[in-house]
Amino acid sequence: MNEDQLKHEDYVAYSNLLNIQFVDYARTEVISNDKANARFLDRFIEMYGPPKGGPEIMKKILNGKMLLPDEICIAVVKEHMHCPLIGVFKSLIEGALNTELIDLSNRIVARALVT
Amino acid sequence: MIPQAIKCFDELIVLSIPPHPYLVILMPSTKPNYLERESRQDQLEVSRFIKSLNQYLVKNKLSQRKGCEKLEITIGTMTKYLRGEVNPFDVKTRITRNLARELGVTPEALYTYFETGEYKDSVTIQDVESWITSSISADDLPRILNALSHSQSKDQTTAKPSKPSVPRKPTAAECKKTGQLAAQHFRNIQRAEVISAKEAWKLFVDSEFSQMVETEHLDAILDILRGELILTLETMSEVYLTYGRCPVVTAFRKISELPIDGEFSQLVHNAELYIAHLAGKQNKTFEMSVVDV
Repeated sequence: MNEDQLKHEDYVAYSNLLNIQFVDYARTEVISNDKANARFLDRFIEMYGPPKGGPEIMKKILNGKMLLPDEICIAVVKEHMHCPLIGVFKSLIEGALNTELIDLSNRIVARALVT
Repeated sequence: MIPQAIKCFDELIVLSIPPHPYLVILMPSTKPNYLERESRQDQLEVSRFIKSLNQYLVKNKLSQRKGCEKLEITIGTMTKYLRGEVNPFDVKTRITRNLARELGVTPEALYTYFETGEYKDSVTIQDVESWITSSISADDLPRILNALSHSQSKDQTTAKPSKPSVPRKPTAAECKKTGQLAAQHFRNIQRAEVISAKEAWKLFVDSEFSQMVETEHLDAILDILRGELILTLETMSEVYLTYGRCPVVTAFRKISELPIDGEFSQLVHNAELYIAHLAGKQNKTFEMSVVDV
């Protein structure tokens, strides 16, 4: 299974779950999505440095306006051995993240590493 | 025969003129006698009946034939009424009730009008006031507000024929503005109560009425308060009609004494008037918020 190539549907599903988690974070904090994005970006830079592709692309992905680009995803996962977006969410959110998101993230990381 | 005939005259003079010792001469009276008075009253009642029928036809823009259908009478009967051949008190109660309903008055008020020329009935303002404070239910409120609104618009446009009053439908821009002002009020509450947005939202969600609100609707409310969702009339109608009142204003009132006033209260009031009208049409209950308009 880990040897399967990442498919377009994987990126669609993952991007969708990232957006759900992001909106959930903004709702929990009772802040606007813009403000949530600013907090997310600050924490991302603090933990991983500037995002690959730039902050605008990350903002669009988190807001569900763009799919996670496969080349960025594979490159970043290979660099950090995990998805930094999940790392940032874990540090921002108290309690567990969406289990569906974590499962898919694990699958994506596994597949990206063998790509 | 004589006692019957005497009714027409006030004075009775008995003369004894031979050879007719019992000749009776009846002198007409100078003041109106009973029959004359009765006849005059009858004429007035008939003329008022005709006026009320014409008022009904003109107000509803009906032909005589169409007008008959609602009164449940034939065209022949209508013609008789309009020719003044029938006293309104000889008309069947069912027909008078139909006419009163179409004129928007009580049958009693209509009978009083036939008698005196003024629409009056025995219900006083005190009776109405007392009924509102003691017996009013949520179901009655939209109808009362509609009637008040109808009465106001009638006063303002006396020259025009009155139409059933329908509250104005809020525009998309007004609904959007309502959502924005709700978000602003939510921020004002945080400042007034010196609490964070998270704390304010927790109070909102924990308030008694909000506990009945579904998560999906709470998320929509939160998104509006976060400025991420534009409030639409569809959303308002769905939420208001599901819970029978505005959950946002209800929760705001629970978590803070900050008054809901100005443009926000006016927009809320207008939207609620319209939704109360929709609720009435759908036989649903809707309780309007008490806001300073």
